[in-house]
Order: sequence, then C-alpha cells, then structure tokens
Amino acid sequence: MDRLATMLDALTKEELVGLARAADLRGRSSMTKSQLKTALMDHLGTDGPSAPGGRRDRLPNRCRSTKSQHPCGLPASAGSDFCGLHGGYAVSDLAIPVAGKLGFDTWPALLRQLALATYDVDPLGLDPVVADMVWHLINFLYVDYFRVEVEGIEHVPSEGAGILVANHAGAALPYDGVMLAAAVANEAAVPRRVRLIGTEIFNMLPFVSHLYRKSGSAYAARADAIWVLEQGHLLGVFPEGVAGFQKPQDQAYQTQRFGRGGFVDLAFQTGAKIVPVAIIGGEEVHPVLFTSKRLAQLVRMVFPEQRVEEMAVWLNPIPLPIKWKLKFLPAIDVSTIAHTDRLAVLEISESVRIQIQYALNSMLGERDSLF
Amino acid sequence: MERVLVTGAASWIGGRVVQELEPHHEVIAVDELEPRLAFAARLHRYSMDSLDFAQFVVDRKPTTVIHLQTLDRSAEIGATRSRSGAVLGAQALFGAIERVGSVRHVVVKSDTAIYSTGPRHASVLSESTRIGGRATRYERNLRDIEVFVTNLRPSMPEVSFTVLRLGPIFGPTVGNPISRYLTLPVVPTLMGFDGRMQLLYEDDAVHAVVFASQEAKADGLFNVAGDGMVYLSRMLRMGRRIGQPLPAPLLRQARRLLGISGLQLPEHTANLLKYGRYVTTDRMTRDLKFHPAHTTRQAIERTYGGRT
Repeated sequence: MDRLATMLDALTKEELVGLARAADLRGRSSMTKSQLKTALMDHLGTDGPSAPGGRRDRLPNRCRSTKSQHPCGLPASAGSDFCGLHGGYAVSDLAIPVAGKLGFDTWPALLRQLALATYDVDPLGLDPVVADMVWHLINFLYVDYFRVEVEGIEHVPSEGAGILVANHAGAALPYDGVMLAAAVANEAAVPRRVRLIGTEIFNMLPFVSHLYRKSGSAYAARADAIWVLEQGHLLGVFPEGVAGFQKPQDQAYQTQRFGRGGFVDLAFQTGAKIVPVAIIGGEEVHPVLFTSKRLAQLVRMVFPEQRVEEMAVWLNPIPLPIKWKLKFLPAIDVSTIAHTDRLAVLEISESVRIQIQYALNSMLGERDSLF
Repeated sequence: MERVLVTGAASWIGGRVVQELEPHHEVIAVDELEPRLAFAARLHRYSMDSLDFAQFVVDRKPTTVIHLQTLDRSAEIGATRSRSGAVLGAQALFGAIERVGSVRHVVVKSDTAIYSTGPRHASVLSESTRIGGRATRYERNLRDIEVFVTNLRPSMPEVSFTVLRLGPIFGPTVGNPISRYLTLPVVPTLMGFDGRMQLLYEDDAVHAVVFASQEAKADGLFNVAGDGMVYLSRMLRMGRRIGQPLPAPLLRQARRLLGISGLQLPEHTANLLKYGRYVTTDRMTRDLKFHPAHTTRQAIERTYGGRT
C-alpha cells in the first residue's frame, strides 16, 4: 500500500489523470492531485485487478490475442476470449462489426488495428476492419439517403452457399451492389457478407482497386466465384453486366440478356441456392440523358476487354435521393431440378430473369413516388 | 548416396540446396556465374544452353536432377542471355535426361509468377488454373520450361517429375529483388494500389526443394507458399518501413534511380506489388506432404527482425 502511494506521488497530475481514465473513474477531470491519488488508491488498492468484483470484472471482456506486443483492445465476441479479428467467428461469411458496432467513434480503434496489423486477410483480400469502415459509410446511403426498404429477406439462406442474382442499373456507380450487400448485412436474421463479383475495371482504378477488394469483393473470375461458394459464403452477381448498367432511360427496369448463365453453372457445380433479387431505385439515381457510341469507343481504347456498345451520359453528378426497394424472391434449389444439362442452364437463367422482371413490374406498379 | 545434379548452384537457393545435400550425397553443382554462397562441392562452370553442358550431364550419369536455373537473371547477364539460359538450358537439360537414362527423379523450380498477375486474374489460383494471358519475359520463360516438362513426362514413365511453383521468396539473406526492395527504409509503392502478399520464407523454399528431392519424390505440380496473406501496406507497417505511395510516373523515376544503384525491380515483381497473388497450397500439404515452417506473417516478422 505504501509502495503504491510512493509510486503515485512520483507521477505528475497529467499522468494521474491518464491512470484515472484507464480505470474509468468518474469526475476525474475536476479532481485535484490529492483527490486523484486517493481515488486511485481506493481503486487499485482495495479491489485490485484479481479481486472479485474488481476492475477486470467490471470491464467488458477484451480480446486476449497475443499476436502483437500491444493488446488488441477490441471487445471479445460472446462466449470467446477473442475478438472477431483474432479467431472469434467466420469473418469471410458474417458481417459483424469487429468493434461491436459501427460508427465514426469506433474508427480510432479500427485505425489502430490497421496499424497493429495482427490479422490476415482472406484469399480474396477481405479486410474486416476496412470493410467495417466502408460499411459504415454505405449505411449513410442505405438508411438516410436511399431509405432502402427490404422485402422477403427471409429467403436469403442463413447458412451455406447462396447466389444472389439481381438486376443491374445505375449508369454512374454500382450503388445496387452495395445496397444489396448492406441489405443482407443489416436486415437478415444472420448478418452475412455478400461477396460481390464485378468487372476488372474495379481492379484497375486507383484507390477503388484495393478498397473494393478489402471490402470483400472480387473480379468475376470463375475460380473466385467457386471459392466463395465452396467456402459456403454468399455470392452477389449481376448477370446483365455492363449491358444492364449502361442502358438508355427508356429501357429502365427492362432486364437485359443474362449472358451465358454462368451463375446457374456455379449453382450446379457447388449446390448453392439461387436467390433472385429485384431492385428498384437504381435507375433514377443518375437519370440517363442519352447513350453514346462514340463514348463507348473511347472507353474501349482504355479498357479493350470491355465489350460495351453504348455508354450512358447521365444528368447529375450527385446521386438523387431516390427511395429504394429490394425484394428477395424465394430461393431456387437446383438439386431439385430434373435436368442439369447445358440447356437447363439457359432455362433456369431465363426463368430467373423473368421472375426478376415480374417482381420489378409489380414493384413499379405499387410505387407512388420516386422520393 | 545418390548422385545429384544441381543446376543454378551459384544462386542463393542453389548454394543453400548444395550445402544441405553435400554431407549425404555426391553433388554435381553446375552454373555459369560466380557462386553467391560457399560450398565444398566443385562448381562446374557451364553455360546451360550449350551442348557441352548436355554432354557433361550425359557423362556424369546423375540419378537425381534438381533444376534451379529457371531464375530471372536479367540484372546479372542481360535479358536475352537470361532467357536463353533458362529456356534453352532447360531444353538441353531435359534432352540430356532423356538420353542418359540414369535419372529417376527430377525437381524443377518454377515460380508462382507463372500465373502472372493483373486485373483480370482470378484471386485464388490453384495448380489446375489455366495459365494464359499477357505475361512478362520471366513468366514466359517459366511457361516454356513447364511445357518441356509436360511434354517429357509421358515418354519417361520411370522418372518422377516434381515441379515446385515457389511463392515469392522472402527473407533477410536471400537478396532477391523483392526482399531487398521491401526492406528498404522507405519503400516506394504505387499510389492507389495495395497488393495482396503471400510469401515463402527463404528457409522454407530451400527445405521444399530438398524435401521434394529426398523424401517426397511425388510426381506432379505443386504450389508452395506460406499460409495466410497480408496486404503490402500492412506488411510494410509490420516491418516499420515507410511505404511511400507515388503516382505511376514518379514511381518509375524512383525505381529507375534504385536501378542505377543496383536494385532493379523486375516487371513481374512490380506487378505483384501492384495486384498481389494468392495460390492454394492444398496439394502441397496433401500430396507433397510438405508444410512450410513459417506463415506469411512469420516470414515478414523474421525478415524485418521483429518477433518470431
């Protein structure tokens, strides 16, 4: 006790305040030095760290990772000694904030984790910490700006592989992809991560390239899609591709061809369930004025592999605050389908497209206002 | 006691492999350059793309061949000679192996660079991934060499061919461009890009080659790399290095300056730092039964001299 007193005497007031902050003592900023000392003596001396009801018990359970000489500091996930980053749960599959919640107030802790660099990323490059930051920013769009309404979220499988197939729109930025991922993360009974796959342009643009990967998305390579499904994760695809993304306004909500039906092929191969998703709102965020073939030629000069016929020229640089609606349709289990041949791939692909088109038509009929 | 032919013995990995093998075997070390590391065995100075070398192999009748001279030596002997040494050298070596008939086991050092890297590449690469698309010179060399092996295999059923696609070798002593570049105090990186890095610790690379030639003798193609993956930016932070993002034109100038001072970053490595690469190592653990002692993270920590 005396040793503790002499130790505390040797400290400056600022250092004592620092200790008080660490001990979470109330009213510390208005205390004098001797008051601080008494309060700290009470706190450290009487109920030391190991005493029952002591300091450690009052603090929330913290991660006990030993991967770095600095303590991790994040709250441990329920029933575990570790936080989400250090082996608590399947980060690649579940979207659970690593600091327990989202928000700018968690960013200092997240940035500290980035600097400590104590965790590995998954093979596609998902970095749960960066993904949390991106998710928080997206939630502003999701909650306040686009006020997304979700229907049929129960059709998203709670576990195991699933392919979310949605209609594509947007002209400027693929908001529909991130809204789809945010809907599943925010609304589903089990908050799962949707691993989106897209064109190589996302890998080529500076800054987008690594944020895209770190938030869990990847280039639409077959090997990557199979990896996601074999791990039992959710995959988000837009089979219309650029054709759906860059279309004139008079074709809004008219689903384009679904390509070669690669997603059905993937479902056959991995047994994943197919969940069609109809999204309205995306087409009006950047209303398309006209489409240009000349512009498409220019784009092809930079990205020769992009087989884009026409590029959309849109009206507004800032997205319009359109009210969005997402409708998840009942999942299709391909294992119950009699034929699994090449024609079946096209048949199922087309039936999914028609389901989405019907859902879009009925949702548009029910819509009262754009905003 | 086997008679082991080691090509590329002058390189770091060649020297280490010879050092590991020479207490137990008769080692025939071949290379055309001055050796990086000292070893007891005599180094036979042959240029691999010469018929003299092929004749030498036929005369010596090795039972095991460890072919490590698939390296990128553009910095030492120029791009053209490097390509000819690697590709024509492999052709001469495989021709000699077929002629001599004494060889029972061949280990070929390839590189995961053979998958190449870029925006249109799959993120998860396995041995069965189809290899194609644009490639740098070194990557083309590797493709050519692996094609030789594929063509040779059916005509020599009695020989087992182990092709090891080693991940980027990283360590404090290997002295390859990627290790030297990433341990600079300030590392210029490309602004807006952050490569996914999966590394192979230098000791593990040596052990993989020795293990494959001595114990496993498994016929086939194997990715060899450490577990786990970290981003380049994170890796530099772990090593307390300053990653300085530069826009592409400035980065080119910075790398040119480094090139003048003797550290040339090959194009395939520059691409790797830009995009990164991940290979699956299931076959390595299942069929080759090799387990690298270090994960990517441990390789980084060891190299930068941090905690192990």
